[in-house]
Amino acid sequence: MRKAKIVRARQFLFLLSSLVLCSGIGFGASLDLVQKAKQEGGEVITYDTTRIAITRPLFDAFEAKYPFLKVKQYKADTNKMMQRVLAEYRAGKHLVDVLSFGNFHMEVLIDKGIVGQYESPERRNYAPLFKDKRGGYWTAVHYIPMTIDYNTNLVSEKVRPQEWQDLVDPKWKGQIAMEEDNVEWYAGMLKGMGTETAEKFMKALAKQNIRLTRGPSDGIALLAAGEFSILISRGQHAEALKAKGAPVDWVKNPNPLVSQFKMVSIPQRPPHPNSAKLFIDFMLSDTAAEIFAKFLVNPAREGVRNISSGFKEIDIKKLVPPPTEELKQHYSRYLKEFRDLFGAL
Amino acid sequence: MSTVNQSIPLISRIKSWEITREYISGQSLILVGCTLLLIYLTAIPLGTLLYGSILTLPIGEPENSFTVQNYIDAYIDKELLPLLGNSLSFAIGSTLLAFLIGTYLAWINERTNTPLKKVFMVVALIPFIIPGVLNTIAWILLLSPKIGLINLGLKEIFNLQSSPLNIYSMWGMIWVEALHSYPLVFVLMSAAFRNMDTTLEEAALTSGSSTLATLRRITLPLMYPAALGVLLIKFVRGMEGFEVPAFIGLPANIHVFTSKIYLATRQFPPAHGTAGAYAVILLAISILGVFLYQKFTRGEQRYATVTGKGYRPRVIDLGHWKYVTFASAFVIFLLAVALPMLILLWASFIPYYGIPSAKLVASLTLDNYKYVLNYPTAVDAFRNSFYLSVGSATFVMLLTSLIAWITVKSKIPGRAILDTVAFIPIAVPGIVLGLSLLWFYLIVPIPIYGTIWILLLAYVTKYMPIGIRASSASMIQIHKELEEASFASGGSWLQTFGRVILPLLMPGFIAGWIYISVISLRELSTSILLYSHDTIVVSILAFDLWDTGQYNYVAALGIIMVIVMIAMVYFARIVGGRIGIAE
Repeated sequence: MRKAKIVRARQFLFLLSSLVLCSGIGFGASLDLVQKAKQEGGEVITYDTTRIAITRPLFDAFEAKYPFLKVKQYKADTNKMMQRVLAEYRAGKHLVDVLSFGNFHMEVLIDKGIVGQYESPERRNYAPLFKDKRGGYWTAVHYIPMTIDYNTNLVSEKVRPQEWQDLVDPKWKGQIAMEEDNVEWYAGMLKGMGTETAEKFMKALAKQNIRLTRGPSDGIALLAAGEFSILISRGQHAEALKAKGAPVDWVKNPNPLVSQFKMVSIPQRPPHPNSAKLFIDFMLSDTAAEIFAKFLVNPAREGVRNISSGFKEIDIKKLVPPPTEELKQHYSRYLKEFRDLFGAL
Repeated sequence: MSTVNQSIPLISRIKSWEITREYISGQSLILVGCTLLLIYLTAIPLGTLLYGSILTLPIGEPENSFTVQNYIDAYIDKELLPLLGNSLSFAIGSTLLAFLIGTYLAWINERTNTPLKKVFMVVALIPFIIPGVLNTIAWILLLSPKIGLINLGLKEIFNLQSSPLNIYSMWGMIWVEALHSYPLVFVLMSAAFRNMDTTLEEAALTSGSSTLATLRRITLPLMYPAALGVLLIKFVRGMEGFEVPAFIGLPANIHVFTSKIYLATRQFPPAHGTAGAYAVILLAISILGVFLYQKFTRGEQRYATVTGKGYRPRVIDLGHWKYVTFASAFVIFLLAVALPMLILLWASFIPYYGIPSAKLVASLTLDNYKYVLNYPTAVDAFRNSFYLSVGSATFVMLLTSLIAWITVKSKIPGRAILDTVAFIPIAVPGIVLGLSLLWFYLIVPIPIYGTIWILLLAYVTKYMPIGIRASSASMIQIHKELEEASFASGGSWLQTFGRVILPLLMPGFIAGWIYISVISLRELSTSILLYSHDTIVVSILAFDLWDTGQYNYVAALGIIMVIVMIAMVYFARIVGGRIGIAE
């Protein structure tokens, strides 16, 4: 009996020491990252298309947690940011610590050998859809569903479109606008609907005399003003204007719900690699996700509490990311098809 | 003996040093320096444009090779001619309308006793501080057949069934472009009117010519250099214009030539080669334009109104007609400035844009201003933009004044080419200019990449064409006898330039300075590639605010920019008045 007690006590001590050791290693690794980051010069350079109004509160929270680091952002539209990253890379200048791009452009950068891998411990809080399966090239921080926005003064609840196919109803002829060169959405629709159905739909949609807008911003501003009734665009802009009382709303789950992911990645040769990892951990953390939600951006992390009512309705099982492989191979063809159907600026 | 032997080479050395010093001092050093700088600034974007246009892939891509395919794609295209036709209509229409409005307002402001003309001077400049997107959307909100306030008002007043005006037409495009760009004509023509020799007009008047006939036969012909310069800039910018056609032309199915450049740079991977091949048309138009300008303004002494005989411009007493000019200027301001400004003001005080209603009036708020003023990086952006605006305007005007002296006053062989070289950057699309500097300063070991200096170089390059036209037109008006008098009195070239030429050039200098300092505040297409986290500028701030899809924030920023611009114009007039004869 006594012997058995001694054995159990030994087993308990072994278990306890193992736990302490394991937790010690875990804690030590994190401390190690912090220690290493402290020796890197005190800054993190991020290239991110996200608005400064959203990123600054994120950076403030990060800098409060790690007071020895300052975050500096270069913000541009995707096209220009891509040019800059490629030019710097070709010139052998490694100036950026964290890259943030959408699906297609990130894959292009991976192919060019610019993006590195980092398996952040925070990735366990993300659905498989939102993280790269090849060992941590990217993780999505938020996602931007492409959907149907409408002006509630011009489109009543009774007649409002529910699905993509509703847009080809003759009553909407001349009333719909859409972003120009929306190639990723177009390719996503082909994949989500099936090529044959999608091609029929796109041809019918083109007959509705779609008005092109230069970007989501002028589109949503003119939708709210009543210049047109329906806008094929991002739900989040409509959600933000709706929150301010504007007469706009959006269809939550049209099928397919093509959605661009905004991803974070570490480059192959960041100037401050450990600071970059700390920053990526933070961007994927619960704190960052809550900040995204506060600014009506749809966080990809699971279990975010203060998510807006519109985003709560989104069924992530319906999400279709733009098909990056197809886009890499046939981008020019998709672009030509889009421009042939809907015109170009 | 040995002393004599040693002294000969010494004297000869002193003489040769004096000769060398004469050659390398003052005038030649400055002029050679300016010429080299000018060539350097233009060569980078021009070289990138032309080199990129004969490559299969963007510059820097591995596995690149030479090709003429970009030119074949660009020019063997059945769409090209109709697009060029639309661009020509748009450019000619908007140039003429802007020229008429700008010149008329400049004449009222400088040469007449129209009441309140000092206020007009500032009000006339307002449109060009307002970012293009903001201005164009303001006009859509005024003249759209569906939601345009003017159309809604006219329908209500005259009980009409359909909207009488439609912005979505070529006329709409011309109207919006002209009303946004006439301030360039206004500032440059004002400078030319200010340098007018009244004795010529007085001679005409005393010989029995009427005021109108004097204006037509004496005043306006003397303005040829300034007028041609302005028309040239406006025409090339009209051909390049894209913002107005993109927002207003597209719904009317009117496409312009520049959309080809835009679409080529937007696709992935971007077809910079094709964009460059298209831009060669703009290059050819610009070079031809400068050639014609030089041809028409040859024999510059004919236009030299600033002489040694005292040329203070005379203000014409219009009598009762001054109320007519006042009323006409008032109508122009109502249409060109007040209407879009009212839209901006309205939008800047409401949470989201909507047609004025009791509900929206009840929700009037200062939140948009608070949001903009508390926006992260707003203070940095305004500070950096201020430095760049003042720095680039001053640098461009000093550089182009010197270049204008070479091209107009000197007899240095090949001087005419410098005029063209300084004007060429006008043909380089903003994104190509940005990329060329990005590539160049990433590769060349001059450590300005990521600093404010690369932005300054970009702005100087971009606005040199405006500077050279303003300086050149003013330089032509200054008679040779003034600098000859200075030389005869023992003044050096540097003294003559600094104390005689530059003060007399001040109206053109200040006109160019005001235009460049204001327009640089809204430069985006080049800045966005070159700025860094430490050198954010106001246009990036506007772009970021615009990204929210909330017109109201950008409207509030637009109003703040108008206030900043008014302060800057007053500053320029005061400083200009102290240095020379701006006032």
